[in-house]
Amino acid sequence: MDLQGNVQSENQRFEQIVSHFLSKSLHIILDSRVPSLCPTGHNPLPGTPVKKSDKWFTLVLGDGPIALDNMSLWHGNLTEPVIIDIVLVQGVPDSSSNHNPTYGFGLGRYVETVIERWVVQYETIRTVFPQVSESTSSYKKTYKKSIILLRSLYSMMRLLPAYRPFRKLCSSTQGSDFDINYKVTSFCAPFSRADEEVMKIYHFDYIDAPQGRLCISVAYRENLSCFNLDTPTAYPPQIIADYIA
Amino acid sequence: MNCEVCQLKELELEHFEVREVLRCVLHTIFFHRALGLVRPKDVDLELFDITYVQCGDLDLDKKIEEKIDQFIDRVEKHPNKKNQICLSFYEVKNKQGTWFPKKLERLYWEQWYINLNMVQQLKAHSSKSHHSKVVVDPGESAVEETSIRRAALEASLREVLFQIIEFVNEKKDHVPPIPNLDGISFPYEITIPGSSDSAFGMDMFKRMLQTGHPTMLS
Repeated sequence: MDLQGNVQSENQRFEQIVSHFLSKSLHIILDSRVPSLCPTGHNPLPGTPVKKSDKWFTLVLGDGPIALDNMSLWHGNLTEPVIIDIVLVQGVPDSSSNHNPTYGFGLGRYVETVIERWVVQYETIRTVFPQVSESTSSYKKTYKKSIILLRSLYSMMRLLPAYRPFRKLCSSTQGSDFDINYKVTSFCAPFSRADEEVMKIYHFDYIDAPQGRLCISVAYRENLSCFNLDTPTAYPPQIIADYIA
Repeated sequence: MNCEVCQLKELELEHFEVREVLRCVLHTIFFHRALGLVRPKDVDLELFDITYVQCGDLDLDKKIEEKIDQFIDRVEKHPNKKNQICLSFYEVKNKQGTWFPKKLERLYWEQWYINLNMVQQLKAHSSKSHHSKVVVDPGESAVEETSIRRAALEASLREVLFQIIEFVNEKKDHVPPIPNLDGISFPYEITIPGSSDSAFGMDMFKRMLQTGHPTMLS
C-alpha cells in the first residue's frame, strides 16, 4: 500500500512539474514576443514581492499574460502539445486612392505571416511498471534540468530574429505599420512547402521524465528583411495650422 | 565526477570592445548556471545589436567587472594577440585519504574557456610624395574594413551565445544538486591563465611534490 501511495504522490509531483513547465514556457514565449500582452514593461523590478507561483523553476517573470489564465480552462490534457504561433500582422496599402495612400492596418486588409512556431510538449511513453525506486530523485533531477532548459529558452527568445520587431513595437510611441499577434492551439495545419523552405528548426534537448519527456522546439523564419520592418512608418501629409514661412 | 569543458569559439576584437563582449559572454554563462531564484534582467549591448540576460545579482556584477578590469590590465601589459579567460564551477568536498586533517578540495565539474584574439585598430592611410603633399583616401577604406570587422564580430558573438545555449542543453547530467536556492547557486572562480590568481602556479607546485623535484626534497 505504501508503494502505491508513493507512486501516486510521485505522479502528482510530476504532474505539477509538467503543468507549471507548460505554463512557464508559454509565459516566457509570449512575454518576449507580444507587447500588447505585457504593457507594464519587461523585467520585474527588484524588491517586488515574488508570488509563490512565480518561483517555479526559480525564474521570476512577474505577472503573466492573460493567455496563461485561460490556459488552464482549455488545457485539460497535459500530454497535448502546446503550439504557439507568433504571427506578424501587416496592413496592405489601400491603393484605391492614388494621391494619398493609407495603410489599411487595423481598419482594412492585412496579411498574417507565422514567423515562429513553438511546440512545447510532454511526450508520454506509456509503461506498465513505473520506476518507483528512482522516482524520488528523478523528479528532482527533472526539475533541475527543467530550470536549465527554461533558462536557455529565455536566452534563445532574445537571440532569434523575431526579437527585433518585438523590441521595435515595445519602444514605438507612435503607430507602427505592423503588429505581432499570437495563437495558442493544440493542433495546427503544417506549413506549406514554400514556408517550410524559409523556416529553420531548432530542437532543445529533451528532458527525461519517468513516463515521458519534456520537449521544446521552434520553427522560425531566419530572415525577416523581406517584411521591411525596419523602414520608418509613412504618415500621410498633414496641414500645419498657423504655419509661418 | 566528469569535468565538462567548453572551449568557446574564438572572437577577434579590439581593445575597446573587450569589456562589452566579456560582460555579455560571462553573464550569459552565469544566467544558465545560477539555478537559484533569479529575476532576469535584459541588457542591450551598446556596440552590437544583441540583447543578453543578467541574473540581477549585484555581487556577481561587481565580481565580473573586477575580473574584466584585471583582464584588460593584463592584455595591456602583455599585448599578445591571443588571450583567454576561464570560468569554472566546482563543489567543495572533504579530501579523503590524506594526513592533512579536514582538508577541503575543489572538485571542478565545469570549465568554460573564453578565447579572445586582439586585433590592432586600423589606421587611416595617407601618403606624401616629395613633390606634393597628397593625402589619399584618408579613412574611407579603413572605415569600411572596420564596419566589416564589426559585423563579423557581432555574428561571431551570436554564435558564441548559441554555443553556450547548445552546451547547457546537451550536457545536464554532470550538474550537481543545487546547494543554494538563492541566485548564484554554485561556487565558481574566474581565472586569467598566466596571472597571479590562476591555478597554474599551484598546479606546478603539486607536480613538483609528486615527482620529488630535488630542490623540494632537500
